[in-house]
Amino acid sequence: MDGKALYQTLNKILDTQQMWELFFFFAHSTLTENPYSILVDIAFREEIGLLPYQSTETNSEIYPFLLIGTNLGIPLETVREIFKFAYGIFMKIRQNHVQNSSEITSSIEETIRLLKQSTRCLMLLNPDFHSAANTRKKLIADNFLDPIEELKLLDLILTFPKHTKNSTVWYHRKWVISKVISLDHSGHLTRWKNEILIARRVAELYPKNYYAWTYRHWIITQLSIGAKQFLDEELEDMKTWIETNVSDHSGFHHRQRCLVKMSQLYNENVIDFCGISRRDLLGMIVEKRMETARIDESLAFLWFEEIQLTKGLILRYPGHETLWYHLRFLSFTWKWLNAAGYIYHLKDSDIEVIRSDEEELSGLLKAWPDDQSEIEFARHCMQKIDVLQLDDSCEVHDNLVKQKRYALSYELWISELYCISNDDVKTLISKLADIIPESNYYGSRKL
Amino acid sequence: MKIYSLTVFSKDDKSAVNLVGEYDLSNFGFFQRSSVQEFMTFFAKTVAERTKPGQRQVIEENNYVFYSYVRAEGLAGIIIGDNEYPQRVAFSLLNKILDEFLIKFPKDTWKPQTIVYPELKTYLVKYQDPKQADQITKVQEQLDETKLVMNKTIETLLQRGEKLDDLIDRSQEISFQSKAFYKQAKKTNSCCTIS
Repeated sequence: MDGKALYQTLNKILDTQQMWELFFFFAHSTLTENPYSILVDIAFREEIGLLPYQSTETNSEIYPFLLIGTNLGIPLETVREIFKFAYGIFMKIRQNHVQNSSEITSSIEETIRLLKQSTRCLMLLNPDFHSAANTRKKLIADNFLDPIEELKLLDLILTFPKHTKNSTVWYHRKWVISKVISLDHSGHLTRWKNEILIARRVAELYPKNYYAWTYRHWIITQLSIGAKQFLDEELEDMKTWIETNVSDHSGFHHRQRCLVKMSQLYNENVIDFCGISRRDLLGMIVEKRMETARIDESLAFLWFEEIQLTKGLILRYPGHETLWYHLRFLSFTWKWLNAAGYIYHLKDSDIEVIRSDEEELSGLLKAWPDDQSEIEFARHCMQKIDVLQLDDSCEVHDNLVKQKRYALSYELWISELYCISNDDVKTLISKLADIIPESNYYGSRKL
Repeated sequence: MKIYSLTVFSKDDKSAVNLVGEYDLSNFGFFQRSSVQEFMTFFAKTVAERTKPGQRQVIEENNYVFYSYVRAEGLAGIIIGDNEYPQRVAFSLLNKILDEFLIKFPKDTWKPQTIVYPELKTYLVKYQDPKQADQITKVQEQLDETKLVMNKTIETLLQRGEKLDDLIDRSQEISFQSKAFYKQAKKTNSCCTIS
């Protein structure tokens, strides 16, 4: 089959696909009460995949494409031909436009139809095509293209793992969703929820996907003050995520942003400190210490529970550096919030321990966070390897060796944060330099 | 932290036969899922065949980790998880499954497609979060760990002269579509994210 025939078949499939989807939407919206369940259904009803083989049904009308349910498989070997053909149509219209050529015989409707179809194919096969994306933005701005339909196309594009690492797609999505929300502000939380679902799915499909996580950070920044419930749900969702992805920095970073945003909802004086250095932040407190802040328990609970949760995870899953970095972030924030006077000291009786299946641990987790409690926690983690006498070939042993190292450097970090005596710091640096001989950092500090 | 599959095989000196299996492939795209499943079964079988009775093995391959345990009765259990999943929990789950399987199904009933073992699905769902497994994790600490053999990759399991690509090529269980996916993935040097 030549490029033209392939291009036409693909467009035919895509046009009918959208009709089906609409049908499913109405069929479902009458059946289910919960709007989110519809969104989940809709968002992943369709998928697109590139196949290293062709459909075997040679007499099917959609040959060589493969359609299973509403999932569309495009054979790899057809991609080049379709792209070339779509590119030809697109460039011809652009050229005519630039030269203001009198050759244009087709009507404006026809031109727009051709533009929509060709850019759709171009974006689907190679989303890194700025001109195509920009043309579609222009079509939306001029009311020739429904931005909600565009979101659906982007949903489809983002089911394809390689495309999820493409910045053009994410930028385009940001632009389109902003447009949708500016047009109709009423249902914006449902729309943002859908965006969260997309970002989450993409992070599953393609792990450590910075684009998806950055997009998710951006969603949080767009929330208004009244969005507490939304943020509660996002925090809950991220809790599940971090508990089952203990070495995913991106997930923890997102949770940190949610925690900061939540703190701002509790107390508007809390500044958004992501991206400000520790030294600068502590300096700020000295300058304008104790604004007349409204102090209640919510902030203390929020951060204290997070510290407990993280320590619980460190004890359960030894040897993951991500968890220790999260704890550093929390300890620093804790110190900062305390210094700024935002933390209300909870009574012992108010403190619940998340996990208390082992007596000795519950004391560790329940301790009110300060320099002493943190150092004690680090030391407990270090001892573990000496207590359990393990065969050094097993994974558990490897993890405990790592754990000891992370705990020791955490102790050093805490000692410096709380300005503990110089001698202690020096001892810790020598110890670290001994157990991590390959690291230049501690070696050079030792001198 | 993820368990992708739980499979049980009956096994003699030469080969292993898949009796039951459950898969969680929600992290993969629609078109990859069936191929990923075929490959997981194939690799699990390969690992089961190359684990001696009474032996436990851990094999890492890309971001996947295979845990295998073969009982003296000729029953093998294989778990495929990611490299975050705690080994201790994986082995205690294997123990539990094989114990239960041996009690429920006498050896003369071990035939593929006839065994109904719905609990396997329950375990697959429940053990996605290892916290759920806490009680038996403690039991595991008393288990004899000296029998544990760490193999780094699938390649080290192969006999002299054997090649993984040849095994895959010859395999009857892997469809031509999946073989095409595999070749494509090798070409782009990426596992399971076909571009």
